[in-house]
Amino acid sequence: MSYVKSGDKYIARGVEGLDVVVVENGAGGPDEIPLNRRLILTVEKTEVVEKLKEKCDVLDVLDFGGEVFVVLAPGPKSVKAAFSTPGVKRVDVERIYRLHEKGD
Amino acid sequence: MKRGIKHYIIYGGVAPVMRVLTGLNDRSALTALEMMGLDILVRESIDVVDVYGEWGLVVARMGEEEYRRLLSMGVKAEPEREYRLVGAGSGLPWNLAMIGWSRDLPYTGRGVTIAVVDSGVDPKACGLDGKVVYAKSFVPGEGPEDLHGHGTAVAYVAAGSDDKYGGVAQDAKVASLKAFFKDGTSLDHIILRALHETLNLDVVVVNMSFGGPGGPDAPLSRAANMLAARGKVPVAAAGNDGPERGTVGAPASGELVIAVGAVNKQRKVTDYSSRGPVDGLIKPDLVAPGGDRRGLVVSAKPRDAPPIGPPVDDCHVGVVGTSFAAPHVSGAAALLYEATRSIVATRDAILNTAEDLGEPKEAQGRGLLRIDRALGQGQKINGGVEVAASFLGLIGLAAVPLLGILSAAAREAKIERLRTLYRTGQITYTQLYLLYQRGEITLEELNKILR
Repeated sequence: MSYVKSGDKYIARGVEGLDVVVVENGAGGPDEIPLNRRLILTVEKTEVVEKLKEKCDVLDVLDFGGEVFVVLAPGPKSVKAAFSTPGVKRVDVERIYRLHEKGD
Repeated sequence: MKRGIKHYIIYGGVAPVMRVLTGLNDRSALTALEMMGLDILVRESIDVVDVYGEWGLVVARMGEEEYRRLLSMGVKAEPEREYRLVGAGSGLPWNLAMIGWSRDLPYTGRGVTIAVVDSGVDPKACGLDGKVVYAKSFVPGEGPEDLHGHGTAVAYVAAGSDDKYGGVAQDAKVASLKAFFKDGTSLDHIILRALHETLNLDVVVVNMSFGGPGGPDAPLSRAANMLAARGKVPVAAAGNDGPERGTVGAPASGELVIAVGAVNKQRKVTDYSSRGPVDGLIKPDLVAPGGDRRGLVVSAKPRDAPPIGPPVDDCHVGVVGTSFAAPHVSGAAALLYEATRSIVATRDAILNTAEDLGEPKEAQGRGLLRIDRALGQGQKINGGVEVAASFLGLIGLAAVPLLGILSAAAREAKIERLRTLYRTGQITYTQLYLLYQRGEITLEELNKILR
C-alpha cells in the first residue's frame, strides 16, 4: 500500500474502497500520525465499523444520519486499521478545541 | 436662578404667524408674540428661549408657579419631555439595543429550547433560574456543573432574563451539554458525542461558542452541518483569531453553520474577530455584539467558578469575544423559530436582514444581526417551506424533482445549473435547502453548489 499526497490529502493506493485520507495536526502523512492521539474516521456505512472492530479498539460510533464518525483509540493498531479498511472515507487526527472567550 | 425652573413648551397654534418669527430680533419677536396672544409671556417676564415658527412652538424657562398661571389663563403648555437615544440610555444594555431588540417584541422564544454545548450552565445563576431543562456532562469524570464560567455566560446572553440586563430570548429554555473541561479545552470525540446527543433532544438551536483548526471538511464542521440537515439551527462563534484573513476554524466553517463574528459598542468589527473566507465560503455569516475593552457584554456568573471577566455586580460579569456574539444569534433564532416554526425561514430571516455595516465581507459577512428586521421578514414568510416551494415554480425549476432519476452526466449538469443560479442570486439558500430536505440533492451536492 502507498499514499499519494494531493494538497492536504493522501490518496491511498492498493486498497479497494479506501478513498481519501486526511492527516492533520502536524502529521506529514500516515506514517507520522502521533500514536498517542485518537483517530476520527468518517466511514461510508456502519458495516465498516464491524471490520474496524476486528482490527482495533473502537471507542465510539456516532451516526449523524448521513455522516458516520468512528472514534478509534490511540495506537499503532488503530493507524493500521484506519489506513487499510475499505469503506473508510477519511481519517482525522483528533483536534483540540477552545472556548472562544477573549481573555486578554 | 429660581429653584424649580424648567423648560416648557408653549403651543402658539398660529403657525402662519409663528413662521414670521424665525430670525426676527427681540422687538419683532415680542410684537409677533403679541399677535399670537402670547404677550402674556412678556408680561409675566418669562424667559423665552426659542421660537420655532415652523412648528408653532415656543420654548420658555419658568417656574412651576408661572406655568400654572399660564394654564389658568388658557395658554396651552406642557413641561419639556425627556427623550433618549435608543441604546444610549434607553434602559437596554447596548448589545441588545444595537441588534434591534426591545422589551416590546412580540416573540420571546417561548416554547423553544436552545442547546448550549459548552462548559456547563449554572441553573441557579442570575437570570437562568428555571430555564435549564436538561443538563448532562460529556466530560470524563466531571458532572454537569459549570466549573469554568463560559457556558453560563453564553446561556445568559441567549436566554437569560432579569430586570437589570438579560439576554435575547428571555422565555426560551436551555439544554446544557457540557463538553469542555475546566480549563476551557476539549476534543473531537467529546464534542461529537455532545452534538450527537442534540439529535435526541427537542432543541431547535445549537450554540457552539468554541472552535479549533479545520475547514468545512473537519469532523465538527460536518457534524454541525448534519444538525442543520436534521432540523436544527447550528450557530458557532467565528473565533478570536482576527484580524488576519482565513482564520475562521471548525465548526464555524461548516457550510450550513451560522458563523458569528463580533462587533464592539461602536458597531465596528473587532480586531480579534476571525475573518474569512474559508475554502471559498463567505465566513463569518454575520456579526453580533461581542464587545471589547470599551464596552463589555454583561452576562451572568456561575456560583461555582471564578468570574471570567470584570465583575459588574454580585452575579453579573463583563465578557468579551465571539463566544458571546454567537448566542445573540442563537437567541434570535429562538425568536424567529417561535414566529415561523420553520428552521429554513429562521435561518433566511436572520441572514437576509442583517444590516450592512460597510465593512469587508470577510469581516462582517452579511452584516449586523437585526432582530427587528428579521422578525418583520420572518412573519411575512411564516411557513417558509411552502413559500420556498412556490419560488421554485417561479424560477422554472419544475424539472428539479426529476434529479433523482437523471443520468450522472445530466445530474452533474443540473447541479452546475443550480450552482450558477445560486451564484447569480436567482435562487436562495432556502430554496436549495428545501431541495436538500426533499432529498432532491445530497448534502455533498448542496455543499458543492454553495462553494
